[in-house]
Amino acid sequence: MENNLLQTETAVPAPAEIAESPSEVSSASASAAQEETASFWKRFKNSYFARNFRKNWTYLLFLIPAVAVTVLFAYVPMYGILMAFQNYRIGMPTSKWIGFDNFKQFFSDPMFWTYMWNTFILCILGFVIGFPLPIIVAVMLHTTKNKKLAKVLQTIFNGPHFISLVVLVGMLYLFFGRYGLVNNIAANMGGERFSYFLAPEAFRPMYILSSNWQDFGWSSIIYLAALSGVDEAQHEAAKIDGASRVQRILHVDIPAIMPIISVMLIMSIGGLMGVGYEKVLLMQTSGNMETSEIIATYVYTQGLEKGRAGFATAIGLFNSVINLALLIIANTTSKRFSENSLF
Amino acid sequence: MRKLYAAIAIGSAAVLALAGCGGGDNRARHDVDELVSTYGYQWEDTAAKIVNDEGAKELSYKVYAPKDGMADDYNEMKIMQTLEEQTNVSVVWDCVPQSSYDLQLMLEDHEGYDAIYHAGISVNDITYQADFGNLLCISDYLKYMPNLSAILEKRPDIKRQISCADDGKIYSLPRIEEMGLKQNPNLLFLNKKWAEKAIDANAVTGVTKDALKDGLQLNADQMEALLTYFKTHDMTGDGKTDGQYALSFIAQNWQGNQCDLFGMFGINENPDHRIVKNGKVTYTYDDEAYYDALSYIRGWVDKGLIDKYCFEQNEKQFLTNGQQGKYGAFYWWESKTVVANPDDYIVCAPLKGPQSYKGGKYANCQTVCVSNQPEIDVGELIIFADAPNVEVLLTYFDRYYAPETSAQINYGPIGVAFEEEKQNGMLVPKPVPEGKTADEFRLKNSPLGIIYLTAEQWGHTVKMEERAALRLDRLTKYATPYYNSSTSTVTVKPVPNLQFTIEEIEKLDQYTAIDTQMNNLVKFLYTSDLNETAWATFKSNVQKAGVYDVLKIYQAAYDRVK
Repeated sequence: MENNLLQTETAVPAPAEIAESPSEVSSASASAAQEETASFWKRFKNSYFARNFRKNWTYLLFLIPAVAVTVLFAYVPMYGILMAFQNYRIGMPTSKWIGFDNFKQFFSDPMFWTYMWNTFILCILGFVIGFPLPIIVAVMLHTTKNKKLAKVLQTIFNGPHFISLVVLVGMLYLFFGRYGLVNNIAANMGGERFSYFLAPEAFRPMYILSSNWQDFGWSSIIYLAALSGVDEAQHEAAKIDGASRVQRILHVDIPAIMPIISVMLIMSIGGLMGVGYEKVLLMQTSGNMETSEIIATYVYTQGLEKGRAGFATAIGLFNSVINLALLIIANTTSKRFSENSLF
Repeated sequence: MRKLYAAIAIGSAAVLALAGCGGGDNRARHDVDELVSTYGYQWEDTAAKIVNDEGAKELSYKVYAPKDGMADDYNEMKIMQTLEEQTNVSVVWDCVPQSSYDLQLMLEDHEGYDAIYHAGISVNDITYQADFGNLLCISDYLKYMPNLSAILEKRPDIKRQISCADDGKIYSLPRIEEMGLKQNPNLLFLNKKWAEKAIDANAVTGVTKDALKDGLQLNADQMEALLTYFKTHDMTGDGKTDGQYALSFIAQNWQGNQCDLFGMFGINENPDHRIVKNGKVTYTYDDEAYYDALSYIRGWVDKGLIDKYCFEQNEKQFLTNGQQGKYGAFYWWESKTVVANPDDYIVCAPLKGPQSYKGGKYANCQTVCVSNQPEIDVGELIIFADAPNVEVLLTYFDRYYAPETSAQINYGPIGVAFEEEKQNGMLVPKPVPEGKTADEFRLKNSPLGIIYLTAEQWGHTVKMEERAALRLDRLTKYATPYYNSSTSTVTVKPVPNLQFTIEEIEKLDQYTAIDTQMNNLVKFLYTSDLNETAWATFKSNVQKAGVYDVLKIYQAAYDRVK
């Protein structure tokens, strides 16, 4: 996909040039250089690329906004990673190259492994629970005979996605705070109150389950779309062969959406360590710090609170490199075993 | 074809136009002699105009000011307009809500602004920005600031606290408000009604009903008995014991925190866990009594006398519960905002130690939290190095440090916040108009910011606000006398504003594990296992994290300012 994007970009000025070339050719004298240009244009005009482009240029035109956004907001800012190799701080007029010093400092940080582990475990648990859930939900919604009920359920499942993080964490406090709903029920039944927000062991379950609750419905949309493309004839054939509903799911539906599943799998493995700091920071208390301090929050405190932009960028870059490595590993593995891959 | 060219031309014109918006600063720059000759600039007479009418027309400054949501626009504030009239210096205030203020962004690009008011920049950030050459070196211009120079001459300690460690120069204007309210941030309030019930029920020994008035002396055992009674009996009258708090506070808050409890063991704790003892910067945990104190207070938490909610709640939740009358006792700055019926609460003296715990070792201990909250805010205002004609601007800001102006900056203008008529040469606060709280009224009419109000002004220039006077009175009776622990000869002082050199800051940045370890000190109070081994492990971990190296750096910095 990336290749296509780049091609369109370089080819954008082409129509003008092509339109102009005939007049150039006709008015040209017999000079060798011009002949060469002419023959180049001729060859170019008949090339596969140019023919293809002439046929599809209107469609390619539609890609321009997407390409522009990607370049502007994903590629252009990348020059900022230079900071990772400099002693840059905010407001600094000229910064010095210090090579890998920022990285060295992070690796030798006594808290390094704690942060790594916290990030890793938070993400991997979230992934293990959060990845299969939308697939199961999608399959269930798809096989529900009562289509009206399925629609209602889908709407309900999608709802939480639109709650903002701050509100969501506010809700968590209302439910799990020491004087929140859950504790009030427990206390009224004679139980002990428990401070979920102060307990390091409660942070991960709360974080992961609330995230998954918020997003499982939304993530299932893509699988539902894939499922709706499954050929009905296969289902009918399976029915005639006497397959039960479960068997049909396992042998018709799942194989049909397998390509989508593997693409989604690769993408989520690629973003595995890329957990954002916002929600963690909102849920962080001095009590759960030992499990809730992750790389992203460390980058936040170092970069934005202490102004050590270079150091924070180095940590962020390191995190991205891990993500990239994970993505490539996942993609290669998937390519080898299932022929489905991103690139 | 033409159309295409036209489109390109229009497109590029638009881009150029956008770029043109950046513009440059086209205000003329003058040296002092020119300022004097052209605009009649003068700085010596602190009552006269700083520049003439021509200067008022031609010199202008733009100041970025994050302001409180309730405050009026500074351009429309009466005190600011008065100042402009008095000085002829025209300052355009660009007010933004505090919530959308981003210091780091401003430091990165301050295009068009000469200064930030309410900059809230940390001492370390000042050191870096000064080193980068972004900030104006104010100490080079002290000549043009008669008020401030006089203050700094009189108060070398202030000068040391605001001078950069690297070059000894000053790069920011401070806010100095010395009311003596911040050093001991906590007061212990006890619910008289509840205590009477406990005494009626014979739940506590050695306390009579008559003794239940301000200044009540309680020891830890008596307090424990009271709290236990509050905890186990239905005090609020709703038929439940759940949802009432025997003792409440907000752990690690800047005031109303857990630290005074350590006073029962003769420890002057504070949220930084760092104080100066006999001129040495130390961590509070490094005290033989600390483990005993932790275990004892942990006992109160485990028994529910201190609800674990104290470690979770925020100020809003704390105040809500207080207003609903759910507190038996609480630590806070004052009582009026916390409870609906402040008359029902008495102020206690700091708690004395437990009488028989560890063989009565702590029976006579009684001291308070010594907070490191400075009364001098170093980074209240910064001026950028590229501001033009800064002499005039500095002389203008210097006027803020004149006592009467300071009072008006801090509380509101004469005629609104203060009576027009002075009493014995003192500004007297006007009563707050009906339908407004004191805070609302004050925030609306005063910009706050750079001021100089110290002990000598209270009682000479300004009469202290009623609430502040009440708190000061309570502090002098129930906190200050217990400042130095009754059982030791150590002199305790708070850690003042410290200035580090860049080298020191970079070194301190390496010891990231210290803060994480210190966080454990609070966690020992409610969640982590607390026993001899855990304590020993903690101590060795702190040592491994480099606590002595850190202290060395702190000591060096302290020696520079003390």
